[in-house]
Amino acid sequence: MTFGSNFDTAATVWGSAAIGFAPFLCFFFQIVFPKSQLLIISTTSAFFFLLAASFASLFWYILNPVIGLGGPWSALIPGIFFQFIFRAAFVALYHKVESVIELSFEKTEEEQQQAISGGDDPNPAEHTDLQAAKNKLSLNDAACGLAAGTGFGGLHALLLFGSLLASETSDVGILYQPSCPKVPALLVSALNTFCFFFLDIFWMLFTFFGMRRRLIFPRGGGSLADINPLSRPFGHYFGNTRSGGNQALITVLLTHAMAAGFTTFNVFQYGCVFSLTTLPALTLATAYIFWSAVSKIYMPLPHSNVRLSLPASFSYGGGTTPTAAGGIHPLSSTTPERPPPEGPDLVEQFRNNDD
Amino acid sequence: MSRRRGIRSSRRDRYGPDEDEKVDETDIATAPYLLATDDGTAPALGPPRDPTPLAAHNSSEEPSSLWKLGRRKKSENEDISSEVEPLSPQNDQDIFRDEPENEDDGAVNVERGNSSEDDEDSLEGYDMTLQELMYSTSSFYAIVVPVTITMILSAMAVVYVNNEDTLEDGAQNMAAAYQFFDVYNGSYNTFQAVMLSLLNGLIIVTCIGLMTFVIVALYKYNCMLCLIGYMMFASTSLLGFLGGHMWYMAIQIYNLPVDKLTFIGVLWNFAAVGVLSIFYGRGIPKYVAQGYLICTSVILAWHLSYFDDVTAWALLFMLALYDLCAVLTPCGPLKALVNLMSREDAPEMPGLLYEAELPPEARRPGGPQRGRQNNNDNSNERNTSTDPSGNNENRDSDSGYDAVTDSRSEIGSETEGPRIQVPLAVARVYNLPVIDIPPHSRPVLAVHNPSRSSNRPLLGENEDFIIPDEPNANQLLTDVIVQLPLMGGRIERIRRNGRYMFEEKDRFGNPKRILWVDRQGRVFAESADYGTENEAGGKNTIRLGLGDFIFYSVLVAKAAEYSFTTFMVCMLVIIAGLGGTLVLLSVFHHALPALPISIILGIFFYIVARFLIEPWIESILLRPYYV
Repeated sequence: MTFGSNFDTAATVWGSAAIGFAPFLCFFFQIVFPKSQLLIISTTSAFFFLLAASFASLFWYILNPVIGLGGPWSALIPGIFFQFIFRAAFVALYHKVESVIELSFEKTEEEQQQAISGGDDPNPAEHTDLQAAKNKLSLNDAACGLAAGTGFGGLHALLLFGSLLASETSDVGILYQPSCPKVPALLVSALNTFCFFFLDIFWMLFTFFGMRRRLIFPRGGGSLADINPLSRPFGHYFGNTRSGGNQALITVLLTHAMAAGFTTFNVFQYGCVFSLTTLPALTLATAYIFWSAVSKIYMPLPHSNVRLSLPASFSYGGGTTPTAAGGIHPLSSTTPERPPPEGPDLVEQFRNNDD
Repeated sequence: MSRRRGIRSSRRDRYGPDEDEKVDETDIATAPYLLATDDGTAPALGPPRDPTPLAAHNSSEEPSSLWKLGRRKKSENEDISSEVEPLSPQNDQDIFRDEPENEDDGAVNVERGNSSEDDEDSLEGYDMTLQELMYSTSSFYAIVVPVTITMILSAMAVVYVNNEDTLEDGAQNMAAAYQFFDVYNGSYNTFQAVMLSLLNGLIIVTCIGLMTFVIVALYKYNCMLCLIGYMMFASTSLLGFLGGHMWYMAIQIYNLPVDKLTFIGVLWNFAAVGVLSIFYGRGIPKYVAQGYLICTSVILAWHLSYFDDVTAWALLFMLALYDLCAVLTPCGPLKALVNLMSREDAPEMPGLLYEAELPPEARRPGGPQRGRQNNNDNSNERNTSTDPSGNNENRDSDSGYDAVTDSRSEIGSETEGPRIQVPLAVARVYNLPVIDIPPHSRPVLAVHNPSRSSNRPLLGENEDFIIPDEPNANQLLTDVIVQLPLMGGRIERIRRNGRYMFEEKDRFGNPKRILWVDRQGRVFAESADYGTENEAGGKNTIRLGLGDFIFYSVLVAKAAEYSFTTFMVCMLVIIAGLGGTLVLLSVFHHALPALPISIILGIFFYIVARFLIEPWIESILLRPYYV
């Protein structure tokens, strides 16, 4: 084994590792790690990816080795499906935890307000502790979506690319595959991993958006105009509606299937020419869809972990009017867990915030 | 190998009292006393309105210019820095003020002062839920980093400081040393091998349990020299011999150029510094001790990973069950050990626990209330102590005096406030009226009145004693008995870093600052929030047994021996299991076994990853596809 060969192997390994894991490491250490709650969210989302991989592999094991339905899609379809399911399950769990934390905050604040109104001088140390607790435990969809996407995509990268990387660290040479005779297989996987990590981030953000809208908006009602993206301005194409949430979730499924499908070009010789061009394009397209359809309406209203009795067809901006009742209904048929918070009209507040 | 396992969260002094310090065998009275003037006017601080024996130190100067608030620098050194200034009366009159008594105040004070088990289930349940959330979040964040580092290092050590020959030799040696049924060399089918490995694991776990009972017995009967001596010998052997074996293996595998003298010298220093940092610790940064605990875990995990696969996984399973029983069952040795170590003034056993600091806002659920309850329970005891030597020069270095409580001066008394025994210097700071002097202070402050009858007791309610206007250092260090008003601030005697100090609290029981007296009779103060919590002399930390580190690392190392996929999966589920255990810890408020959840999840997902996930990934990466 020549020195040059060893150097090439080491350079390929380290370079591919840098390409594949750099986004994950940057997101993790810059965004996730400094905050304890984001670290917990990231770890939990990684665990949910593990569950998705376990179920997907179980289904593949039944389909392929047992039944004999081979081919790439026997591995890809369960992977797409279960990743989607467990992303949604994670976000549902997140909503539950969020409501518990908010309830704890409210109870503590109520007790302190009662103590103040009762004339008893409140303990400033408790105020400090409550404020510190709020800073530590407060959650918002943007940060938590990023953290969850980092965890989900991180373990995704570690399992699918890390395994290949670990097997390539020996000095037996550089692996090339017929799909890409000129580019090492490790580099091809690294580029795939790079794109899929960012896709995982966007998919998780879409899932947060979609599940939140499904949570706060009741079923039923609405019109065809609600699913017409052209009736809204840039950044609101999906609309702040339940159907908008559903559109976001469908976008996740479609883009994931497309991304996995593009990698099946590698079954052909020189197939990487198509896969390594379409996959980054799809990543950029997904980013654009997020930017144009969801970015302006991504953050939910305050206390949006319960059904706030907004109408199903409520649309933000774009000229469409709410349904006949208009504004906020006191209580809808979907029994909310608690009444909406007092204060200015949430519609106006939300509209003003966006302005 | 009987490392203590389980998670504890407590705030204790890491080391017991110094050998040259007098340890008071009686309980320390930490009565919460109230500080203010008797007539209900405020404040006690500042120049007294009526001349009292407690005048300013130098009457020629304005009191406000005399006393300046000092803050102690953050330092392990107990010597007072020359840059720190003694305490001065504060302008803040909120702390020591005789507040008008009302039912609410009394109820608050009593409630805070006399917390009970019912408080944990009271209307403050949501506050405790928030506290539990904070505590579990902070605990997880504090402990996950060292656990992750240990697991990664162990996996790397097992994978890279080994080859096929060393693995085979190691497996044979371990089988010969630890296995009653030789599964490695015997010709058994899979089922028989699994069953026999479980039996081997049961035998090993039984030996571990017996050794743990011996440790519990030694700890219970205070054979600390024997225990710590054994721990030091074990740590030295581990760091020196096993660490040296590991290094020697690396030298052989990678042909490292190391001579014998360097090898011995480095190992000796490595082991010596490790033992010093773990068992002595003073003057050594904490991260050094933590690093050595991690090294200990890595070395032992590397050694234990030589078990063959079936034996190793069976042993891990049996250890998880053992940990569950040993910590949760009443007859469990680890439960007994935890109970013994949770007592007040129980000596520490270094070398068994990894301690990670928590942020101040992450208080242990139920901790402060329990602290107050303990303090109040102690305050109701009537303890007296005498100093046979009458030597007051070393008071600040802990001579262990107890506060004297009058039978009428219990908390909540309607007539007068309680009494407390404090050094004269502290009494002068707050201008507290001196009621009496304890017997051991008589030689210093008492003045014999020749007009008194000889039949009268020398020390009674009207005993003559003079508090000098300018007391010397000896007199400032002398204890006096002062009476505190019914409502207002409080002072409690606490113990920190082997010395007695005084914790000033406001009328709500919230700690404000810590006071201590130096050898010259000067009073110094530091913020009560400074690195400590409400309980006496302790830090807010989360502790994880070293055995948990070791066996987590063994599991991850065995998984890493197979593949990277299993390594990643096992590491993730161990962290997830540890998080779940910490959540349960904050809910149940007592020591819990850290192994069962993580080990069971680890074994399950190792099997899933090995037989399902990895083949699936291999089929995806054939072309390569990606999903």
